[in-house]
Amino acid sequence: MDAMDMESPSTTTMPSPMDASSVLSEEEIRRIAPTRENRLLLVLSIFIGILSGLSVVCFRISIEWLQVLLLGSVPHPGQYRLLLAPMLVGLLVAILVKYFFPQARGSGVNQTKAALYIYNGYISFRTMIGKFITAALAIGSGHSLGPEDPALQIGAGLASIVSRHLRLSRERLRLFAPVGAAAGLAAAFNAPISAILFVIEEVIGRWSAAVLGSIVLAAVSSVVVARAFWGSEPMFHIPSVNLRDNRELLAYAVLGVAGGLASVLFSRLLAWLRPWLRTLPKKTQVWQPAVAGLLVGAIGFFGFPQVMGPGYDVIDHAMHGEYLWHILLTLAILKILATTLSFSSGTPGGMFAPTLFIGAMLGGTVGSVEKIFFPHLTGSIGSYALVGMGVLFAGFLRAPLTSVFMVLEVSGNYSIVLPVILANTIAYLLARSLQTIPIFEVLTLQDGLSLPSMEEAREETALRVEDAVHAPDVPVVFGTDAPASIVETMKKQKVELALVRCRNHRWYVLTASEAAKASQASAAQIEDALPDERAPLLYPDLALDETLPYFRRWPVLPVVNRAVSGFLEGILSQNDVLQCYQNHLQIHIHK
Amino acid sequence: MGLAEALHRLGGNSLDARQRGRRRRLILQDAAALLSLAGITLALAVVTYFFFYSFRAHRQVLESRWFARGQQDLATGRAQDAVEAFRSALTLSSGNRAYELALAQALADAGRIDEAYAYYSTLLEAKPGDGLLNLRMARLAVRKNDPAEAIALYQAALNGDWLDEGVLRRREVRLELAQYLILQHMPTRAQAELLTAEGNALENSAVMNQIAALLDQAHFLKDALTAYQRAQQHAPSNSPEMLQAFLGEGRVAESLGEYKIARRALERYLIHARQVSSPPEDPSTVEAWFDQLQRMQALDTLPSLPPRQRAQRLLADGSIARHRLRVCIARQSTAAQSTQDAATLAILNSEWKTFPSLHLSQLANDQRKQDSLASLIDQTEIWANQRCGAPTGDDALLLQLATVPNRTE
Repeated sequence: MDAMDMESPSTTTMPSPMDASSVLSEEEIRRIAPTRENRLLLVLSIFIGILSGLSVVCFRISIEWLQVLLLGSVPHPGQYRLLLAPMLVGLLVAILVKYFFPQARGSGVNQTKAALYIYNGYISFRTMIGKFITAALAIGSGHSLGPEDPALQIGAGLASIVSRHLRLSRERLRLFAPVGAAAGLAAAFNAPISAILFVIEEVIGRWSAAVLGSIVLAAVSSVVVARAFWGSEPMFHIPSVNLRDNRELLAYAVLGVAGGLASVLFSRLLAWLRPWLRTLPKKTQVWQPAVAGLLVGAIGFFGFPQVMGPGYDVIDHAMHGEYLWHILLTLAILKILATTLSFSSGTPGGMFAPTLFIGAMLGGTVGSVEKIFFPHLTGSIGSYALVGMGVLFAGFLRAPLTSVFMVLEVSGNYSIVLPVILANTIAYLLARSLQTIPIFEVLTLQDGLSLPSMEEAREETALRVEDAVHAPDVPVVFGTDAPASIVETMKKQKVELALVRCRNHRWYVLTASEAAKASQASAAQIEDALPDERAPLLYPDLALDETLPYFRRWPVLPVVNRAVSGFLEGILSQNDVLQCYQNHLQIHIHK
Repeated sequence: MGLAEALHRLGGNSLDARQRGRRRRLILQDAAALLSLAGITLALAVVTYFFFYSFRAHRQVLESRWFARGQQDLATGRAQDAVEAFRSALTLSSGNRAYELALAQALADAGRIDEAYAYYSTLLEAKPGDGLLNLRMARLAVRKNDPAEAIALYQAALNGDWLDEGVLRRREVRLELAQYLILQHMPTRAQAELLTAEGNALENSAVMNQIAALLDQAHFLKDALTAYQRAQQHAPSNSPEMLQAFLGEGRVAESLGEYKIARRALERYLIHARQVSSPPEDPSTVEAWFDQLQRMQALDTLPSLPPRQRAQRLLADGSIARHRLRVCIARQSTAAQSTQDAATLAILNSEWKTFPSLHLSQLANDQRKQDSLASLIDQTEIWANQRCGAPTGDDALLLQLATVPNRTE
């Protein structure tokens, strides 16, 4: 998606289907019905979930129908339609994208993020329909892409349309896009937890109580709808993994390393080919999906039709040990190539399914090879393929938490959790060290957009009060002390402030003028002359930014111990806080 | 509570009349929007339902077509094509047990043993207690020449789940395992399996014949003889099973040296075979066999015979054996003889010289000489068989008697 092409809304609140004279402003609605949006929120979340579920079922059925129509019920090598279908449909899709649905390019994850962060949650109906049609055509014709990311965008688009239809506020419009995204992804994967986690991990970037309830409701509703059609069986069946010997985890660690390296290879290929294709003359761009389709079709025509389309059936075959290790490895390599070609050419479609495919093939390869040398290993080829899926998900898409739950959900098998956590962590760390910028960010930057980096946000070390606190450099006095003696002390030490330890382990930051005033009033104890207000209780583990509002009132802030009430750990000034942030930034830049 | 009242309650007191009116309108608009949303959802649900089920029906047609094609390919020996067809059927109907088993079978039939083995392994991991899967895996292990794995898998198949045909299938597996154990030169384990199978098939004469034949193959002749006799007890009169059992009994009894039992079995065969249109063995062949046994009986020099009769037979057999020795020596060149041969021949010659011209009465009265002569006849026939090839006629019968020392009449 080019930033230039982005179709932006003229206003944040779209016109409703109601009569123009009856349209109320956002502020007026808030005034006359302040609880309206909160009440609508949950009902709409369910509606969005159901609509997304139904749309995703239609979307996937469309893809399968198109596959049968364009490639035959089951593609076999040597069929000329394998060359023609992806090529001709690639051309058609390119024309549709160029002239009718310019925002339908790409996977859908970044588009949804852009809608959330740049366009106030606005996704047009045209974009949603365009995504549905072009992605279904591309995937159905055999382009090596998956339906999940488009499903995510379709869900987000539906949510955007529904919330505009109800004339919700800008804040709610922004909130509903990820709700719909979670619903779309949940229906596509038949995995609500993974969808929720992915949206939080990759789209929103942080846990937010305001949105979590809606996301969960929408995801669950969409999965209920999807299961009404597809059934409640997990996507893949593998036997229980019974780790009799913990040393077997080493075998999965090897898979983690292999997956990490494959993720880097895949990312780098995409990061290189996509911008290179964009540097070619503009008139060639309409032909690029067709050429990519021809090349992907050629891979299928000359012996490996498995790489065409999303490939879930092939993953299933691999899990059932239908392929020998060299076939699995070949499929993994060819899928990387085919997906790089399809995606880089700008053909609409997602990368989730290809990622899972590559991971499953790689996992199957590693499992098969390890079984040859260590036949006593208890894990089946299927379990290695399953772990491999998670490994690529963690390494390539950089969603480590989602990757673990995704594997558990698509297999319905909890026994695999230990190998998954181990292998995914290794792959994630390896991929992160070799490829600093995650693929979604690379693609965003290539599109000229600047969206927040979720990985950076996750890894950002939050500064705390303890990082800025310093030992008290002002006199510390008791509330029972005489004001005159305090004034004396302050004069002697040539300071303008003093910390007063008051009753109930509270503190007051006394200025020189306050001390002088109390002294003139002849108060016996300084505490009697002070107002009721006390300095806020700050603890060393508090986030540093939380202290900022208090500096308007207090020139310095006492930091106390959580265990021993009133025990002074140090003091904090506004300058300390700023200094701390600046030092942190310097270190970050230096790194 | 009426709608107007509800709307009134919803309207806050802080709002003026105009705002309350707007608020009511907003609530109605929201209700209308939600209703329209519900309508759209319902319409989409109906469309999705028909779209989904029409595709599913089409898919079922396609998968059945691929499966039928695969079965046809398999039946006509095109296993490679069958693999593709079954794989296609599975693509359209993932996890279908019948298709999975068919694909595994096709892979095995196509000679893609490693692939078939890996596929079966995965299927087996999902259902480790499945008897059929274990049996098929065992057969693949046999083809992979992995006896330890094959035996373990046969054993797992025996212990596995066979749904409602458990007894029958387990017996078949046991017999297959026994056969494999015999081929692997593990007769004792084979015997154990066969005796267990025998215990479970007492009233099934066909299976009993099969067990007896395998016991015979494993050289547990007495067990085989008993099994054939049991088969006769439960076989319907004049049935092929009964005739098979007679033949088997005759053969095993002959091998055991139980010639009387053998003859009786063959006699019974011949009696019953006359009443059957197509007996398993041509009666004339069995008659020839029976005559041969009769002749063998005439040549047999059992110690239990009356001394005179035994002496008569020994003299007759002795002259046959000496003739065989002379002919054999004449045929053999001296140069071809090894030192050991020459030594054995010298011993035989010298022993024959100790029986130059025995008289019947002399021999009949000397038990030791009878035994010595009987032993010499046996040694001569055995030596001649080794040096000059398989004998014919009476020599062949004498050789057979010589190789069954514990024979009985």
